[in-house]
This record gives sequence, C-alpha cells and structure tokens, in this order.
Amino acid sequence: MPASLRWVSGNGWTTIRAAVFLCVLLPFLALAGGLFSPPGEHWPYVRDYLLRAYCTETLLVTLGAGAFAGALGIGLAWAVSMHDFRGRRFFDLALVLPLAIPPYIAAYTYEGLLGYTGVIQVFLRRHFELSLARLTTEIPAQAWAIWVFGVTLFPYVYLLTRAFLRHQSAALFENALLLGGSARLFWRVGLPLLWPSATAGVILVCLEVLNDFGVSSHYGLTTFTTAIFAAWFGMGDADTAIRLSLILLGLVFFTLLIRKALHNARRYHVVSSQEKWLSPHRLRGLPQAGVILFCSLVCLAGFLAPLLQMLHWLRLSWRGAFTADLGSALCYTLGVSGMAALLVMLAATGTANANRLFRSRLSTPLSQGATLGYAIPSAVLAIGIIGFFTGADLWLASRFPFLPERFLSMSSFLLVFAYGIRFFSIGYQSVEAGFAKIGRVYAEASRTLGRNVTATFFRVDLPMIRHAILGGSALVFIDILKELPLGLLLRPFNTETLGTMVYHFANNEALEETALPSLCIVLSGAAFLLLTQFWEKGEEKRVSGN
Amino acid sequence: MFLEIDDLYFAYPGKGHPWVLAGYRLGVEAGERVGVSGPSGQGKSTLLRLIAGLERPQKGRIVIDGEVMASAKRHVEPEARQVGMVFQDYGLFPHMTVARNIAYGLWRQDKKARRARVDAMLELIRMTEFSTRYPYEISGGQQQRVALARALAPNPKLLLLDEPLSNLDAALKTEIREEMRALMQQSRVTCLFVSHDLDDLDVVCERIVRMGDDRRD
Repeated sequence: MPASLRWVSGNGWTTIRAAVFLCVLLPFLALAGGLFSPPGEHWPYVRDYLLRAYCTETLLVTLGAGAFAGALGIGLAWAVSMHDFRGRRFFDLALVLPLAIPPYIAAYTYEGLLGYTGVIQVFLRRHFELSLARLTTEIPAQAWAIWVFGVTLFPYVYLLTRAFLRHQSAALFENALLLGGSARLFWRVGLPLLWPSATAGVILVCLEVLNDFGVSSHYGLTTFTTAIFAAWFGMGDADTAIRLSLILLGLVFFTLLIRKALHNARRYHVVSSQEKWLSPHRLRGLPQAGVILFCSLVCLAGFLAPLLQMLHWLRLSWRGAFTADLGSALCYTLGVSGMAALLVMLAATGTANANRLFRSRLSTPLSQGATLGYAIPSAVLAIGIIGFFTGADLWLASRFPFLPERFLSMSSFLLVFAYGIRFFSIGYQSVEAGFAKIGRVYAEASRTLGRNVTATFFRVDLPMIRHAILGGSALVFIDILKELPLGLLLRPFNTETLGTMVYHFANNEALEETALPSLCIVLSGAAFLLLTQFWEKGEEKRVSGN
Repeated sequence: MFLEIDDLYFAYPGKGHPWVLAGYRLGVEAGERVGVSGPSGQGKSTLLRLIAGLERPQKGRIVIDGEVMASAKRHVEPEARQVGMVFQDYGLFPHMTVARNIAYGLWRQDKKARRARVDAMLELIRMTEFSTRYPYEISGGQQQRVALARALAPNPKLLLLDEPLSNLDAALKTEIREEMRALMQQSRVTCLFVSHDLDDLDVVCERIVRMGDDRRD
C-alpha cells in the first residue's frame, strides 16, 4: 500500500478520536475561563444566603433518589433473574419501560393523578367519602421528587444488575444455597457480588438527578440546576450562573470519584470453570404472588399510571391538541434528534475503532475524557457551549462580515452539538461493547489478507457490529427525545422541541395540553427501548448459538 | 535465507510485563516447512503475530524475502507483507459465504481471475459444493480447510499457521493434517507452523524448532 494511504488509514481514525475529545473539552475551557472573570453582582448574596440551601436540597434529593432507585433496581433484578414465576418474560421487558418516561413528565402526571381533581381523589371521595385533600400538600416536595425519580430511573440499576446476574455461574449460587439458605444467599453472596454493577447504576441515577431541571422546577426545589436557571434568566447574571455551574461540576466529579472508590473497594473476579449459567428457581404459591405483585406495582407506578393519565388528558383535550405548533415541534425534535444521534454514532464508532486498533498512552485519557459529557449536567454544558460559541461568533463576525449576526449561537447547530457531547458516552459504550464481542481476530485476518484498517472496518467490522450501532443509535435517540434543559437553553428563538412544549404547557398550568407531546415522547421512546431489548436478546441467542 | 529473524525482543505493553521473546533468532529457507513447538507461554503465537505485523517488536529485525519488515526504524503494516495466516479459531468472517471468504484476499484481481482462483481453491480443499454455505453451516474440519484455502488463495510469500488443529477432535485431526501436508506440498509455500502437538508438526513439517529452551528473562 502506498505510504500516503497508510497515513490516512492509521491517523484518520486517531484524528477522529482527538477531534471528539477536543469538542468535549471546548465548553469546559469556556467555563473555566469564567473563573478568572470578576464575580457577578448577585454572587455575594447567592454565596452568603442561598448556596447552603442549594447544596442541602441537591444532596438530599440526589441521595434519596439514588437509594430508592437502587433498592428497587436490585430487588427487581434479583427477583427476575433468580426466580421463575408467571409473567417473568413479560416483566423482564416491562420493567425497562419506565426509562421511556422522562421524570418531568412523570411528575406532571402524578400531580394529575393525585391532585384534588385527580382520578384517585375523586374516586375516593365519591365511593368512600374519603378526603385526601392534603395528600399533595402535606407530603414534602422532596419526597415527591424522590418518588418520581425512583420509579422512573430505577431501570438503570435494574439493567446493569440483571446483565451481571445473567452471566453468573450456576455453581456459585448453588453452593451458597446449600451452605446457607436463600435469605443468606442474597445478603452474604448476592449483594456483595452485585455491588459494582449496582453502584454503577445508582451513580447513573444520581447523575440524572443532578442533571434534572423539570422535576425540581415543578416541585419548587432549590437545587443547583434550578439555581443556574434562576441566575441566568431571573437575575440576568451569567457570571453567577457560571460559578454555580462550576460548583455543580465539582459535585459531579466528587460523585465520579465515589463511583471509582466504591468500584475499586469491592471488585471481585469470579473464578469458575463452570460454563453453566444461572438458571432461575421456580416460585409457587405466596412467594410467587408476592413477586408478581411487587413487579406489577413498580410497572404501574413507573410506566402504566403516567401513561394512563396522559391518555386520560388526551381524551379531554384531543380536539385542540393536533395543532401546527405540535407538528413543527415534532418535526424539529425528530430532525434534531436524528441528526445528533447520527453524529454521535459516527464519532463513537470512529473513536472506538481508533481505541481498539491504535493503543497509546493517550488513548485511555482521550476516550475517558470524551465520555465525561454524560456526567456533566445539561445546564452546565449549555452555559459552557453558549460561552464558547458566543466568542466564536464574535471572531467569525470580525473575519467574515458577510455572515449573519450570531451565525452559530442562534442556530440549531448549538443544540445538535450539545446533544452530541452529552450523549456521546451512550453511543460509545454500545459500539465498544460491539467491538468487544467480535474481538480482533476478524480484523487481523482481514489485514493479513491485504486490506488496510479502513477497508477492514467497512467490509468486516461494520457488518458485524451493526446491531450494536443500531442499538446505540436508538438509546441516544431516546435520551435526546427526553432531554429538557438543553432544549430550554439552546433551542433557537421561536422553535420548540417536544420537551420544551410539554414544559411550557405545564408551567402555564395547562396540564391536559401536555398529553399529546408527552405521548409522542413516551411512545417513541418505549418503541425504541423495546426494539433495543429485542436486538439484545437476538444477539445473545446468536452468540450462544441457540 | 528467506525468513530471517534477528535478535528479536518483545514484551506486551504495560509496566512489569516480562519479555515474551528476548533475543530470539530464527532462519527459514524458501519453500521450507518449519514447525515451532514448546510449552505454553513461551511466545510461539507472539512470534507469528510479530512476523505477520500484528505486533511491533521492541528490538530486533524481521526480514522476509530480502525486505526488512520490522526493525528499529521500520514497520511494514500487515496488509503490505504478503504473509498469510491461519488463526487458532480460524477467524472466518461469519457474514460471508465460504466462497466470499476465500475471495476476500483476491481483491486486487479482476472478477474473472478471482472467480477462477476461488474455484481452484474450492476444488483443492474438495469443498466446491459448500461454496454458498456460511461458516456456521459447516463442520469444524471444513472450517479449518476453508481458513487454509483463504490464506493460500492470494499466493502469500509466507504462510503462518497458529495451532490450526487444536480445536479438532483426535480422529479428524489425523485426517486433516495429512490433507494439510498435501496442500502445502502442492502450493510449495514457505511455512511456519506453531503447535504444542509434536505429532502435528512431524506430519506436516520438514524441520522442528523448540522455543523456550534458550529463553532469557
């Protein structure tokens, strides 16, 4: 092969990896620049009187939601993976569906369900003359937020824990069962082994809670994200918003450090020559009824109840629901989500392939740095991006005066770029898992048969990891559909995404109007989620040869 | 000397990894079939990967047919070495049929020549009727033959075989190694065959070298 072509095939991939890392780095550089600028006029007041409340409320809700989602996720994964009961296959899929419901939409539907004019209170008043008028007012808002986060985000813990349990040797648990009984099996063997995957899931839940704006804003919580929005929009003080963002960023890095410490503290390598995977234990009678009830209640709370409430609202509001605004929001959301998902998957595939083939001292820091976007709360990311692109626009205007004013920062490019950075990690992990499954032998065989890295990728690797890429695209697409804070901060003027539309309706107390755009988000999310689950199952069958 | 390995040093990346090969030397004449034996962990497979260009040595030189393929200053990529390799688990592309697997390395040839070469290789391994099957639709022994045909099809200067019989049962192994010897003799390709089974090497190779006896850590 000519030397010039060799350069392209080798360094082309590593250039993609470096470019992705640089894109992720840019907004943080802009944020870090804010540290050196003088503080905004509101900063002393925020620091002296509000900062403590932001910290306390954020930590309370985050830790509460993490613990609740962790307990639900671990319990359900244990119930479904270790036991066989009626409807197990159905629950195996259904328990993933709450991921399709964005927490802020769940919060609105819970208000509709449990409020004074909601179905539950009306039913109790009419049939039992029971008044629960204080239900929504006496229970603290933090508890409602923890409930909503728990029942919608527990699938992060459930999925990781279930995946771990599915690939455990039967001998391990059978031995433990013989030696100590089923209760001891969970506490003494199961939980310690599940620890790394369960904590990884709980940390994901915590990061989602730290990122949230919709739920906190709905319940009037003073968390960091609502504070950043208040500083940016309410006080018009960008410097204070940047300082709050940097503190929140510190909190996120602290969370990531905890994850690393927890992971390293209990990392077990299971030693077994047994190839027989865990087979579930058949439940009968009361234990079976208990498990079915537990799974049903969680499905009801996390997916069915919000969905039914949305359908109820749609029944009330459908005449005026199909508007041109909804049509354009739907088209805009699908277009932006599709574009961002495509870019994410291109960047993720390029980076993962570079990491696989061109290892160097820099490859791990570059790829880990590029995946940090997922941990960074959207409000922080948006402020960094606005900071960077405002500067870029000024530079462009001075060099190219014929360009429209604020060429970049007023366009959808900003939103696509932000989605790309935030959700790169999800796409990357899918592609990396796909590459890990096929290993390197096929690529090596191709290269010894005369094909260079790029030709090998298109002819051998790509057809073999296409399911991983499709699965990754679906997950990225779902997450972008659900995303709210980035849409609120970065969408161009006079443009709405489905998420921002729902938020504005809810903010104007027009909860019934949220039904149709919410259903568009939830149903497309659920369809893509089920699709990824079927692909995953098909892939598992293909690999195991059954 | 057709293949010349001189003072080769290699350790896998990472702190504290010992030398897998330290000062290794080997010479192979053109057309010679050399077997490489030795206990596990002595670097037999690594040696083949270094010759194929899939790993880069820390020190030393690899020369094939007079061209320096690896040295302190030079590394020729695997696709430019004209070295064929049969892997332990064959590495047949699962999304391609038997015929497309064999044709894979013939991309420089025109369609007609490619088809003729594939037909000839299928005939050589007596699998013409299996050309449209996928790798998972044929037996382990057949997969092994296809892997050999795929590696031989582009007429490589050197053929590397990395434990290609280790996944076969004893009866099939005996049959296949006889076939392999016949194929090698027919193609007259220079060959380096790694195996921990001396019987395999005795049947297929003309000379056997043992690794590990002269190892320096």
